[in-house]
Amino acid sequence: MRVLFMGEVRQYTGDDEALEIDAPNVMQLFKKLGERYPRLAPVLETGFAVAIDGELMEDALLQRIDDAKEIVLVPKMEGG
Amino acid sequence: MAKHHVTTTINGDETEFLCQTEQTLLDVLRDELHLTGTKEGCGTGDCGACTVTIDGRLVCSCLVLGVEAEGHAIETIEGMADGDTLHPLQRNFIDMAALQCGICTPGVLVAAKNLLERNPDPSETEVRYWLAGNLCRCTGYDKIVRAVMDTAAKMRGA
Amino acid sequence: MPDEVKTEYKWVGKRNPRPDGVDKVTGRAKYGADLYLPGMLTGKILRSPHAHARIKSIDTSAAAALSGVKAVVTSADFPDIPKSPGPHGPIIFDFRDFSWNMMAFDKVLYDGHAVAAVAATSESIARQALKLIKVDYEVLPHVIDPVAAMQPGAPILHEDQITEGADEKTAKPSNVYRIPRGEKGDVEKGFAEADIVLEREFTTKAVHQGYIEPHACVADASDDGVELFCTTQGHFVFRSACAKILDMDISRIRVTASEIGGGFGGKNNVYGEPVAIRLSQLARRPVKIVMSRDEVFRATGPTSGAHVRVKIGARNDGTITAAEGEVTYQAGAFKGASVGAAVNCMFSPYDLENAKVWGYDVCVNRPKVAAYRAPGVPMAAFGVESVINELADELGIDPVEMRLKNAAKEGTQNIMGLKYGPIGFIDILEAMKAHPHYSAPLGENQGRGIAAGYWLHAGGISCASVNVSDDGTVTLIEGNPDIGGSRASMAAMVAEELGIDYASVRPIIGDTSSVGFSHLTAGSRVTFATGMACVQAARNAIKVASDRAAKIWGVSEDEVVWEDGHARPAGANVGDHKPMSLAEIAAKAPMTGGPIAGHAEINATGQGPATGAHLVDVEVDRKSGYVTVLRYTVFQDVGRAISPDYVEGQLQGGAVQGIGWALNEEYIYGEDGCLQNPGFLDYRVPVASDVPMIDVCLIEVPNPNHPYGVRGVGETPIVPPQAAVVNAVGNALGIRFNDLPVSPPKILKAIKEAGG
Repeated sequence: MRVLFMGEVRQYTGDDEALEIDAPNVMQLFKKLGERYPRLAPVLETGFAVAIDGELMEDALLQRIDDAKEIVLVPKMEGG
Repeated sequence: MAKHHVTTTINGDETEFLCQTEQTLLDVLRDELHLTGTKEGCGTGDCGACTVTIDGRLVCSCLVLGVEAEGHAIETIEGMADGDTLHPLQRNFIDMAALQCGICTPGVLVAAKNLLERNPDPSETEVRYWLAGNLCRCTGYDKIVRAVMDTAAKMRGA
Repeated sequence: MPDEVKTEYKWVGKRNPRPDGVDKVTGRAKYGADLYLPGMLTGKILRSPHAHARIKSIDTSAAAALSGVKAVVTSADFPDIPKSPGPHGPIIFDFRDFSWNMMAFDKVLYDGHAVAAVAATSESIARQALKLIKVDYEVLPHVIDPVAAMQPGAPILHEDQITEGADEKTAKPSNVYRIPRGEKGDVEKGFAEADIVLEREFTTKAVHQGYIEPHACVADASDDGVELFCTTQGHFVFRSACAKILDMDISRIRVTASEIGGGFGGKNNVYGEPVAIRLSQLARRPVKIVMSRDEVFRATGPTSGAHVRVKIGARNDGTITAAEGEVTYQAGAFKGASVGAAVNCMFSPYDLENAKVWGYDVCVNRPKVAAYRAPGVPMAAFGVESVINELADELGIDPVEMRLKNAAKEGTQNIMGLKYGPIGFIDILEAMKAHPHYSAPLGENQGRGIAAGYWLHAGGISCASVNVSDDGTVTLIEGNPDIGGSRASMAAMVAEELGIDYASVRPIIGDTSSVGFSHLTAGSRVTFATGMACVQAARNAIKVASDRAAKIWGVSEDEVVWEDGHARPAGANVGDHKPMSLAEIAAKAPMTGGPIAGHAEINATGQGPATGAHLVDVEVDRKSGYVTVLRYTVFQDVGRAISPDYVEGQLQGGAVQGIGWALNEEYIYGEDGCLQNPGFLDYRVPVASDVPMIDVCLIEVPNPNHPYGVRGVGETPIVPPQAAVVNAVGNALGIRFNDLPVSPPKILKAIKEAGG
């Protein structure tokens, strides 16, 4: 599946705007992304949610993504 | 310095307490008498959360000294219901969702009750100006004003 | 969990009595300052009079020696917390920052920054003790504007802070913590295609949430652990924060949430709570700390003042071809302004091919900012919506039409990469167009303004327990402080699921030892996420009850269904069993295996965005500059209104806060960097006579990802008002205003400069 790097993620991924990669769940995806982009590793789990084919999932490390086509890393939101 | 001994009437009950010179009536109600329904929102008379009446007159209790209560009749939110029967304003505030967090509600109710005792048929403008000394940050005042006017109508038997 | 969302329910969507209603109208409800324990001491905090200074020494000996003083603390009495690797996300839980904000470490960074604290047997002794503490300050130059703080030579707040992403070896210390950004498509190409491009700059001032109840807590420490009673938007989050700051096991701290007198995001963070705990540990007595209003303004968490630049290009038919935003936000004394939310939300009501936003999170000598209802978005939206209105003017297009032309809808993908499910933005705009307010005639010096707004609320972790008593009545335990009537909505959903009377469900907000972790009452998440947890807990209880009925009947579990509060045999060949009500099953429960209960610990996902649009008419008095709000109508997609009266209340309250933000509220600092208006007299929030009735139009486009179609509603209402009100004032006078607040002196000055 395709992982899109939008906005502030780009500062960690250099020139890469997207990546073709496979992983069974979000945790494994983060592990692979962290290995490929070491500066991204410490902030992934705490700072980012994922939009899986457009649907937002926060703190969902065990979410299965086998069938997903497109994943976007999205910064977490705080509310007031 | 020795504390002052004060005798007063609160919600119809004769009450005695000791207080320091600098303690306000609000401090006394809350810290000495544990009548915590009256709230401190600012301590400077700007928010109305501490509203009570003294001899039927609305005051910010944070601007009154405890010793000034001597010989007077104080009414607080705790005296508004009659046993287990709520005052029509209290009942209507619940029914018409005129409170969200509820912190301003005691002060607003005491002020509104006082208004309706003086003016049983207030206009919307009169209600708004009467309550201008009671800050509410949650409701935007809409449902508060509606509840007061609806209660006025009910109490008039209209 | 996608569910078929019905249109008619028994309890959901109805006017159900609030369990806490009578207590709140009689003064019986206990808020943070309303607890009194035997032997309780009064805690008071000494605060910096300087905006920026190094602490050379603190001598507390005279204070400690004063009769009646039982404990004195400075930062030396709190554990050292190491610097953590740059935490990310708008939710910046850097506990070292929280600790150093709670009590200054080596520098004071704002007027009001806590320096020391005492616990004494009376308020007056505590105050005397504070006067006896000697602090030797080396006053430093200060900076309170974020643009100024970014210039070379500006005073630096944190010598060990470099801008995120900069080269660690060569970068100089900076007040800029990071530069969040977002991008979609190609804005340069988009601007080139535009027939008209407008670029405007805006400024907004720091404003405070203005909750009427000051922060308050009572801490009671023993060798076994700590009991903390406090006003909070999240007692679990407070527990974690206190544990981290005090280096204690989380399970040793039990936090009970009091009733809360308003929060709006300002009570997401700890301030005096760890201090009260530490004092209580040292004094071995309960300690109460209640902030004064002055302290609330100076030393809690206002929201950022901002510089906002917006550039939008459009074709002559009103289609937006490109949009660019650059924001610079005050973070206050420690990093963490809500710039990311501006990036995610400012253009998000619209379906745009090309958009780019970036922003600066800048430390300045002000209190550390906290969330305020859709944090980070109102200031940016003020700019965006104002520019869209000006474009509509230039193009001769109706401002609602212009928004309809560019409106986001189901399937739109925004700058975050989020694809929208069904949303009601177009419905809202159509409703505004058709509303009688929109075409009502206006008189002299009167003007009309509109604006839209978007906020994506939070999901997150919530836990709930449903326990059925022997008589069939139910206790619901959930973990979210109830700011505005949420416990009633939780009870309604549980009653609906169980098929029993609303009055049979008693909702309780459990303390941190009684129910699992629940995240903040913030982010408009409670009805959505905690609602989901309560529904799941109820469904789990139903499973237990149904299985029990099956066992009682001697049939298999899948031969029982739950309908109308009863377990019923399913299918014709199950046999002749009379349906059993929840009460009947519960009565038999002690003899058939134990109580009927269900619990759930969930991470709620699938939240849907909330869009809104506001319409306002104002009249301006040209002699005094006073603005009368004549008429105000709020339109919002609320998903499904579980408690409609309270949904209306959220929209009305948010709109009025926005009116205050637009017309009067602002933090005013002197040349010395000290706050000049830390009180409600000079920090002017709207009073009852300032505003009219706020009409509300609830549009329901259910969120398919929630069992009852819920969308968060509480925050979106504060996003549109600023642009709507300011544009209305502008239209009344024929003058554009780009700086908040548009207070009478500013209006009079603008009228004079325009020759009027």
